Amino acid sequence: MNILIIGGGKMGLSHMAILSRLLDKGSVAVCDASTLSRYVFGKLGIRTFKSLEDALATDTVWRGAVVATPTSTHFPIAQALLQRGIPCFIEKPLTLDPYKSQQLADLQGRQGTLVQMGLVTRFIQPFLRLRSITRTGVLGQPLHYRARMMGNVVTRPDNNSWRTDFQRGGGCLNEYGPHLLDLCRSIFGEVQQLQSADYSQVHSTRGDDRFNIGWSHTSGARGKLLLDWCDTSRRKSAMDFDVAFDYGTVHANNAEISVQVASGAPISAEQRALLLAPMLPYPVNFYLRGEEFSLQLEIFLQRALGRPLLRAAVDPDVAATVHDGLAVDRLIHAIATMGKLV
Amino acid sequence: MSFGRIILGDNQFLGINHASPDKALSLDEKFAHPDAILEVINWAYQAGIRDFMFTTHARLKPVIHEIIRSRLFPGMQYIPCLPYAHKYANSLTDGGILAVVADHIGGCSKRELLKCVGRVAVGDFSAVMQLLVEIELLMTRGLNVRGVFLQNIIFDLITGLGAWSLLARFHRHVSERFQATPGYITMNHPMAQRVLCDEIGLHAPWICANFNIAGFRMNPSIEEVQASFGNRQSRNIAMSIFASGALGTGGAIEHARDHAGVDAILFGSSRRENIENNIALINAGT
Repeated sequence: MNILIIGGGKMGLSHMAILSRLLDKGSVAVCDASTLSRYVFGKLGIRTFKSLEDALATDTVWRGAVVATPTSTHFPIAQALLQRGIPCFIEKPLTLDPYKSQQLADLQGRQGTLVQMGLVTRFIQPFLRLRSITRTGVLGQPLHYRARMMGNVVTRPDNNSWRTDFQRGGGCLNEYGPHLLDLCRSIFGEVQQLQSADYSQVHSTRGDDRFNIGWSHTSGARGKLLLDWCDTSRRKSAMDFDVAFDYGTVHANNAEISVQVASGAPISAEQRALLLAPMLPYPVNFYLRGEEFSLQLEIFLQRALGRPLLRAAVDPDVAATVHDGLAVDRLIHAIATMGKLV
Repeated sequence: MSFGRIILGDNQFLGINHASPDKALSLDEKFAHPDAILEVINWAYQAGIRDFMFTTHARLKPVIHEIIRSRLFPGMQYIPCLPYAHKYANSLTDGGILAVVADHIGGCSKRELLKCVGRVAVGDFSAVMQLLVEIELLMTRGLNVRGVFLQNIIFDLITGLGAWSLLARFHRHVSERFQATPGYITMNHPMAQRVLCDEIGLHAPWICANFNIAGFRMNPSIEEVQASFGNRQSRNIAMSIFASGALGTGGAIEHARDHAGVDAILFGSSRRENIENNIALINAGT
């Protein structure tokens, strides 16, 4: 039941802690190029490898792998894993190039190996309920919505760093984009047409700090999106949605959801009660930093190992696939092109 | 050593509300000035609370400084919770690793610092926990520190990684050097109890975890958390008894108060009336 984590940074560490609690002791190993990181992990009793090649050269049967390295390295790592039929959990975004993402999607299609994307915001509970409201049609069709992701990531000029350089995978669109764009797709379905994409800079000179995006979905719903990572009024990054449906409106953010049902709406008392019912966080086997982080890994392990792990009443099919990762990469490319970032 | 039956918490002072970002923002603005925080602590003190658990957050620093300087709240016991990880991240972002050293390590006892660094250098990695405690408790010098708790984000991370030696070192250092009671905040009470009691071999450690009627963040399930609170292998502080306000307050205090495994109740409030009512209700059960 061995799982390999590639990349021992912040996300790798978080995944390692959660996975270690879900598996037997000693089942999780880490692959990291940094000698210091390997020293620290080794001191903590965790098996380490210098490179993916080293890890794959051992006799260990890897039942799954987590790719938590910088995005520019995702392609060769995911390719090597998929060629060996090892189930992959890949942090967002899939790659920085839609062409390469397509190659990975094709390879996955030929191999049939499990690939799950770390598009974690799908599992934030108010957004799961908004998705359910939209997909069941209980409030009718979604007509239009405003979606925002705002936070205080960049608060001063930082122009030598890759973090604010779009070409090197930085900037607000690359950082926040995958979360919000994917969430909009998950809730409202495929995007049919991109209508507007405008960016502005606050501190950065090689990338975007804010993006305004307008688009429509195949369902007919129209969306206005705002990404802003220079909002100093926020303690941490957060998303919110305001959605107009045929028979009501919904406001949802990371912690809560409120539904206003229009008078005369054709909704039964039972449906109304369900819409307005208070919401409790889902139970998870091990909580580290938000239920969503645990839920996505419970689903990945459940699928990779073929044994039941999920306690929460969450549909495992909510998890993002390699095709979702590809779709997000294409949208980012299209938005950057329309916004003249590339 | 023990704590009082009622402990005042500090989430409200830091603008934390798990159920509503709007409420969180309004609390954040309300308690931007230390005087506003001191006023609420004073209400709790006047109402009989003698234990205050707080995060080693920069916002609390002038508050603690003023309590020490003006000798406020005689007899109050303080329980710092560490680390407040963001301050290290902020220093790192603003000035790199040198800023982390300059901002946080400069005031430590040189003797303790050398001991910790020496141990790490010879391969005793768990000594980093000593270093952490030394740094984090700098702001509490002169305060009546009765307990030192590890925050859930770091405790659950360490337990997740299976790094028991770090926890054992923390426990020993807090007990021996500070003569204080070590404690652990967690979102996974049954697992925390297993690790602390069975893996590390601690006797009746203090664990602080969510305990409420609704099962709000009681992992892996409300039943298992109630059972592990009730088995008496650990001494337990119930927190989030109102489930962050998500489900109203009816019966919340009685539920925690009357459960056999709850040794103390931690709550935070920004309103005098609520503080006094909560205390009266908790004391009505004793």
